[in-house]
Amino acid sequence: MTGAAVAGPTQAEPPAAPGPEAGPLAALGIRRRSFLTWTARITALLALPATLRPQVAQAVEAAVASGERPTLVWLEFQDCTGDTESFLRARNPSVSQVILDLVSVDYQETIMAGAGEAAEASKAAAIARGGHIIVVEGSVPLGAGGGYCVIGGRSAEQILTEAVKGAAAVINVGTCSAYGGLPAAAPNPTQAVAVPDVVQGVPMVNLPGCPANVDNITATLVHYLTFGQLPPTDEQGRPLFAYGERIHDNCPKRGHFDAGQFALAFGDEGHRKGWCLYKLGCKGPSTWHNCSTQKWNGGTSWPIQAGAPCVGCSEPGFWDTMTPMYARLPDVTGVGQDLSAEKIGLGLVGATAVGATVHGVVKVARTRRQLAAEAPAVPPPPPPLPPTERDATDDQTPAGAR
Amino acid sequence: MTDMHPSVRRPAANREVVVGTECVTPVKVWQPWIRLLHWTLVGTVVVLSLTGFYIADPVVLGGDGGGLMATVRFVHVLAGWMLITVLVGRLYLAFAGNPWARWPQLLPVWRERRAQLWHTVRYYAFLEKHPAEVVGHNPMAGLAYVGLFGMLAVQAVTGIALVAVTDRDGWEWAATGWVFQLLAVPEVRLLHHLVMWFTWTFVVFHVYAATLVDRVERGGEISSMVGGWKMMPTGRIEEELSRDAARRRRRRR
Ligand code: HEM
Ligand code: HEM
Ligand code: SF4
Repeated sequence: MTGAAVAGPTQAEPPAAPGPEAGPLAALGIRRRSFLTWTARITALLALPATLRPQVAQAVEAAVASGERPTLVWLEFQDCTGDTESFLRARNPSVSQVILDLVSVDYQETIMAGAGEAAEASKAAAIARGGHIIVVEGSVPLGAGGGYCVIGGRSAEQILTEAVKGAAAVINVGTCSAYGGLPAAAPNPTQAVAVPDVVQGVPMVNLPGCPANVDNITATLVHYLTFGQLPPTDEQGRPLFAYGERIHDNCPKRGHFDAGQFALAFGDEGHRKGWCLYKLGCKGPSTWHNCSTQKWNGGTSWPIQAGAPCVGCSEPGFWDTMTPMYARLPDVTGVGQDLSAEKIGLGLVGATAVGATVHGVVKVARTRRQLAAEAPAVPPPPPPLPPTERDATDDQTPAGAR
Repeated sequence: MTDMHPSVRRPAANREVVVGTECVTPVKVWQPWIRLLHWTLVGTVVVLSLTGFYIADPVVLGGDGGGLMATVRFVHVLAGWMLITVLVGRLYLAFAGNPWARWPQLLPVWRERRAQLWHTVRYYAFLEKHPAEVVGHNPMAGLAYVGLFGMLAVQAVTGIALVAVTDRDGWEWAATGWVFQLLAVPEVRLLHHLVMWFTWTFVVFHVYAATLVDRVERGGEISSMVGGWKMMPTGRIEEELSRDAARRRRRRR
């Protein structure tokens, strides 16, 4: 995020800005001032230069005025509904309304009023119209012929493949739809896969996390409305505005990290003082996400602020690669038992040291015996040889035959 | 002794010594660059391991901590760059160094070196009384150094990759980002950490072998890594030099 974008408009909203309380937004009961504050915040979150704020505001207003609301179909597969919960906790309730009114949420199992065949019918209609945005929450199980997740008589895979036909974009919210998540963790009994493993050829963006942060969902939608396309992403398909930097890079505890001040146990003095959670297994240094700047629940708090080490929930395969959650390094697995790096290392070094010592003792003993056996060939000098191996070698081994 | 290589000092009257039935000559096996690289390598590996160990499992000093983690990480990466410089320098000498620094000393490509390799294995299994008679490294040591350089190259790549995660716009990411296609970040840390232990496994054996050949076989290896000189049978030196010269003639042709 550029400094200008963060610092600029969020704090310094010029008092002259509020325009007449009229137009489509007023019709929705949204005050102009709070709308402009909201667009400023979204522009900053999207890491766009502050000069683009008017464009964002215009695009949103135009979309509201035109009444042509893009259709949003929210599909839930093997999930925990956490992303839906997150979605319902928009930062600014009056303005989140804007987004909910900008997009027409035609299908959302958890919150829609309709049920059963009526719900399925409205989904089918939305898909038939085309140009819709698909939001997917949860992974897609391929095992048992798709039998682990069946809705309205059809498997998750079937529902997904049909739904993306004619879709304008796919937004994967949460780690499960983006990367497989918990259901896909070893041994992955349902053969769960991520959405990109099933669907290709549609513009797609991943908003991983357990759950995805509603601020990032909103900002992605606003980006789409403003520019007609999804935001630029990293190699993992995550938008750079939200996943461009590591948690650790912007963590408020980073000063304690650099200083060398670490909590050693939950509840100890360092932990109470708010020191860095590195030694408690914090995965912030391995995790690209904006939790440390955006926080959660309307900016109230977030895990590390509450004293819980980051578990790396927005990284692919985090259940397998970031565990144990409260240890810094993973163990070496698949060798009969889980071994820590230290156990393996000390074992190897120790075994080599013991082996070398034994070898050395045997070698010295043999050399002595050998020299003793060769000794009679040389007439013993009048004062008997001191019994050290070193002198014996000096006197009797030809230096060439090392 | 015609066509003497510059590494071998022409034996002055009191230089060539007769031991038993053999003539031995002092020979400068380890040119200064090799010795400098060796002891710099020892220094960087020790510093990297100590600082690396702190990074892996930091102790907490009292007070304000004194910026310890930031300092230690800085020193670690600095020493890491020194290590990489040493590796590059050694690679250069493998092609441009003296006959005992060049790559056929590391890889047993010659039949004679392979016979000596077998001899060395038998020596360590107590089946030969004395190690193979070689002027430079024995072929088993040569192979061990190849293994070591391989491990250090892994440290260099994973180390640069762990620097790269701090800024995905940097050249480090462009150079080593592919590592994270294969392994997750914590797995790269685990690998980097494990290879430190593998390196120390090498060091323990290496120091033992050097001591053994120095103290028991009286090869003078340890002082040779300091001063560069070894006393070797004159015939043996000439044999190895003529082999090296032949190889270079063949290459030139
Ligand atoms: C971190 C510790 C060490 C590392 C990584 C290391 C590495 C190496 C390497 C790579 C070589 C090959 C030299 C070349 O051709 O460039 C070598 C040779 C040698 N090192 Fe070390 N070394 C270590 C510690 C020591 C110590 C403590 C001693 C002394 C007791 C020692 C004695 C020697 C000797 C005598 C040789 C020449 C042996 C031969 O003929 O093969 N090294 N070492
Ligand atoms: C003999 C060579 C080396 C050894 C023994 C070594 C050892 C270590 C160890 C034990 C760690 C802690 C790993 C962990 O538990 O997370 C570490 C971390 C690190 N090493 Fe090295 N290292 C070596 C070479 C290098 C090189 C060449 C570089 C780069 C130029 C490098 C860069 C780093 C960085 C950046 C970290 C911090 C990783 C993090 O953020 O967790 N290392 N090293
Ligand atoms: S708490 Fe975690 S993310 Fe924050 S500075 Fe410490 S290690 Fe980094």
